[in-house]
Amino acid sequence: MRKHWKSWRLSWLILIGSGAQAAGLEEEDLSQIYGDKTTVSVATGSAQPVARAPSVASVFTAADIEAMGARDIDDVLAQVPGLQILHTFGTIPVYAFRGIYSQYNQQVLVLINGVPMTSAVVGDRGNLWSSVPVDNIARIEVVRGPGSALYGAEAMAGVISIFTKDPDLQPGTTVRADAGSFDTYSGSLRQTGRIGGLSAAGFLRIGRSTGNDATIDADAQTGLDATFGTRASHAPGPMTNTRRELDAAIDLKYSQFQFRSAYKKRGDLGAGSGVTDALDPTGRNESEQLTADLTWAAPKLTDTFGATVQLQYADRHEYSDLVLFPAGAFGGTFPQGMIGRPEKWERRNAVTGSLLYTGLKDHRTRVGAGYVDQDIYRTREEKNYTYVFVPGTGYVPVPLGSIQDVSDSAPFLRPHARQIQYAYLQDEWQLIRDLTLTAGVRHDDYSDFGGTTNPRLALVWDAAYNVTTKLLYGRAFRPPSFAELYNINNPVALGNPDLKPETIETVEAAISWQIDPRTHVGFNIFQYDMEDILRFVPNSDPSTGNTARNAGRLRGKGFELEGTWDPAPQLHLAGNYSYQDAVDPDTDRPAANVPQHRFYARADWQFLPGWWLSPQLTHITERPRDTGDARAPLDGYTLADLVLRNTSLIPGGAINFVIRNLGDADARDPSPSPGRIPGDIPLPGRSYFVSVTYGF
Amino acid sequence: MRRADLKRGWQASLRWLLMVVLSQPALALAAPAGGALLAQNDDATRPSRPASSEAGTTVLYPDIGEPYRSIFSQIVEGIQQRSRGRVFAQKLGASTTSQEVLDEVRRNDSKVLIALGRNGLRMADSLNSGLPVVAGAVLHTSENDAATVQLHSLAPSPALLFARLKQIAPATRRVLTVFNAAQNGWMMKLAADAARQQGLELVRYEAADAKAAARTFQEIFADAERGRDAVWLVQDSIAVDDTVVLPYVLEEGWNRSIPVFSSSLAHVRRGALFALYPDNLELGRRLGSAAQQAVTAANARGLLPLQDTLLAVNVRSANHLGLRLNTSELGVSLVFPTP
Repeated sequence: MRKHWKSWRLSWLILIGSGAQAAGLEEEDLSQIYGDKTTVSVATGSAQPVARAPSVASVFTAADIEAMGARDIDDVLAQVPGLQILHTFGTIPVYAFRGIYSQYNQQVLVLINGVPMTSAVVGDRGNLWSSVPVDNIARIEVVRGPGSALYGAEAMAGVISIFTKDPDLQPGTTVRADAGSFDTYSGSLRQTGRIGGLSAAGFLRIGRSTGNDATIDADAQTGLDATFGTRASHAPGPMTNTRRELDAAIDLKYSQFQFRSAYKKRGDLGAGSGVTDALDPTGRNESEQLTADLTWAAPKLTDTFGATVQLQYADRHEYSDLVLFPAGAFGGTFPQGMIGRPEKWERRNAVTGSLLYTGLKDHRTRVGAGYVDQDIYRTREEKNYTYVFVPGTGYVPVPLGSIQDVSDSAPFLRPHARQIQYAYLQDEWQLIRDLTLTAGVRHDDYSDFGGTTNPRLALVWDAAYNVTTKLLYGRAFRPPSFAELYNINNPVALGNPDLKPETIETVEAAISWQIDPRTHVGFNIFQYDMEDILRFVPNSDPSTGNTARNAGRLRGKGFELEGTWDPAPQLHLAGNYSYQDAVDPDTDRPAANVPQHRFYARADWQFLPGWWLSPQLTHITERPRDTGDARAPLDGYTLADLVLRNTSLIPGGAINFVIRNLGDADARDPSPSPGRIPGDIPLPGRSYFVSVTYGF
Repeated sequence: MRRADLKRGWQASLRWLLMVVLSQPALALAAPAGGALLAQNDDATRPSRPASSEAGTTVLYPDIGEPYRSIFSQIVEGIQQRSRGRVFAQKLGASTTSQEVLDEVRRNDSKVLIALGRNGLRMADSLNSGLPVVAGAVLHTSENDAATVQLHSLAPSPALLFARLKQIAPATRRVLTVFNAAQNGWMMKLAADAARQQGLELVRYEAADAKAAARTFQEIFADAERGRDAVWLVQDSIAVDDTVVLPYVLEEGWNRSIPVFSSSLAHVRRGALFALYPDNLELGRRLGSAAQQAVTAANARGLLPLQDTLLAVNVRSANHLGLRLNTSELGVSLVFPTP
């Protein structure tokens, strides 16, 4: 028996090994010329670096993303030091950089091909961000710290820049299929071709999933049931995180011109644990967006000038059909449940341009300007309730008898528009040998609340051939959103036109040390000061509801340590540790919902030619609660994942088998304050995914 | 009504998408030149004879995953642009046999073979087809291989390297290098002539093993003179060991302000001042032209350095050396360090 097993194992090893042997030798030759796979990608044109201000950044190429078996960008971003991803509100992630957390995560700017994904309504990325597949992504760059001096609004805590695959890639077809736990299925197709000087790429992806359906033991309605003596709550019951996904894109490139258009739709989106913290198994959201941009880039316009101009267009439509509280809520006042159906349409048009001048000795100077029009051009709302003010009690929901269209009489928000004009200047000045100062400033002028100026300074010292140090200072802002300025008829969150931007000032010091060819260490420390934080806070008479105000401060400091080590040609190790200590100076309480310590480690082991095994481990410590939330801090968790990857069984393709939460740990993200879901939000248990990619 | 609107939206979007997707294969198939790698592969397995009366070419190249696949795809695209007859691109997978390839070559009536990479060369050798062979995209090879075919190496021509050196660091008068004779003996013969043409003195040190190479580099840096000397790193797994020699050379070069330039792009990323690396499309065109010539004339044999190159520079190292690079003027294709 033993002999039989040995012989079987030998045959298996020969079978799986031989396919990759020849390719391995070829790769060895090419890697002597090009270095690692990332450099090959850059050199063959599939990943072009961009110019930018010095910063503390992480860059992931398509090769990195494939190697880690990622399906969604959150699988990739989980590796960024100082970044904690939370799923407090259903499937929409909150990216909390360095302890900066808010419900709508407006302190993080996300760009796709340079176009902001921000919705003007609340300044978030909307329901579209419930999933972001990586199939068509060439590169993700994550900057920790402020970036408003270059990027403008929302670039406060971090900037996530996503670049899609370029049509200049070799003509060919790539298909990918995914399947896994939670009835997750998806398929994508990417086709690249050329006619003369025109390069074209098309991408289509369709997917669906029932999502994380972990059980919520008690919810907001459970509490109301106790008050009213009813049994209306769906808890204990599962969360609803269903989704259907459609992503399509076309990308045309001719000479110095590039036209890109993308359509993204998320349908049948479940309400997670409920928008009012009351489980809503039937509520659904729909969200769709069409974007287009036309870019003219002439990096070598003359010997000393380079120029770029981009026209951007985005149109977004979001619709929700939600049961805010279930049938029988409020003592049976709402036999069908408390139903709300908000809907909004918004458009963003922009023109941006920049000029790079290199004619001045020891200087590289970039000037840029732009004009943006943000327009919520239509809102609509249907609901079966209204709020009535009861003196001494406050606003109480009162049934309207049926679902009524209140779009004209009492909508949550009326159409609004604003225009933004901005200009920036950035100069990279080599002061002396090995010492470069980058100084930049940007002014944004908003038609509604006024102007804001944000500078940035970076001093970079190349201390040794393998050591670089950086000293960075930046100021950044986020403008008041349309909801914060103009919300009406919702006493929980009323707008206030008299708001100013939220701001942050950050100082960072960073060192990067390539100890030897196989070992790299990066370390940075930071300190920031957030002022005028925009929040909905109780009115002077709390019974009259909450109004948006510049009413908060946060002081933070901390450090991030990261390293990579290749102890053997077949083994790559990476890890990071992050520490943050953010405190509200007015209450002296630590920043809520985010861990103080975060540890991440990953190994990529090529155990046979063409075969990789990649375990990864994430550990975070406890999360403090918000003001007004009396619950004990939420425990930390440790999650282990495992990726088995093969690139030899299918020539020109790859197979990934991924196990998430290998140990089936009970990991939870914090439910919103004050804790109407007392047991917090359970993260997915052990789950399995397989993906197959094939290029021809 | 609203649901109906949304449904119509879905349908309209799907129609648009289908148009987009359906039009793309047409683009690929319609592409006159580069195209088609997809079209070529289809052709390679189709049992029909080429319509063209011109000499057909079969390209043998390794089936390899991305990002390396793009290198070969670009070379194949270049070959097709310069080939007068039809080009049949034959991927070589682990299970591809000589007989299968030979059958395919005969079915396609190819008159010349282009072998890419180690596997391509090995397959071309094993076919015994009697057809002329032009080879490329090979790093190292045996003398035997070089003696029987025309082999375009991936090692950049020293003439091009030294010309770039004079542009980037014009004060340089002497180039110092360490090499292993088995791997770079042929290159040094060319380098001596190239240095002379640029008015440079080439000082070559032969190293039998990595230890000897490390010792030699120590001696080189002990005597090197700032402003006058530059160090050239060749593609040589013995003389330029990645783990010990390379970091030492880069560190000493930095500390003593001696420019270190290289025949390998990988070194620029680590801190070498500049390197030349393959322009794959142009290399393909050169191979295509060479293959056409091989059909009509006696096939020139031997090992040739890479003539089709792109320039990568490390601006951090350049700044340290006090060199002010105008990347536009130099025609730089890649700038390191990348963000």
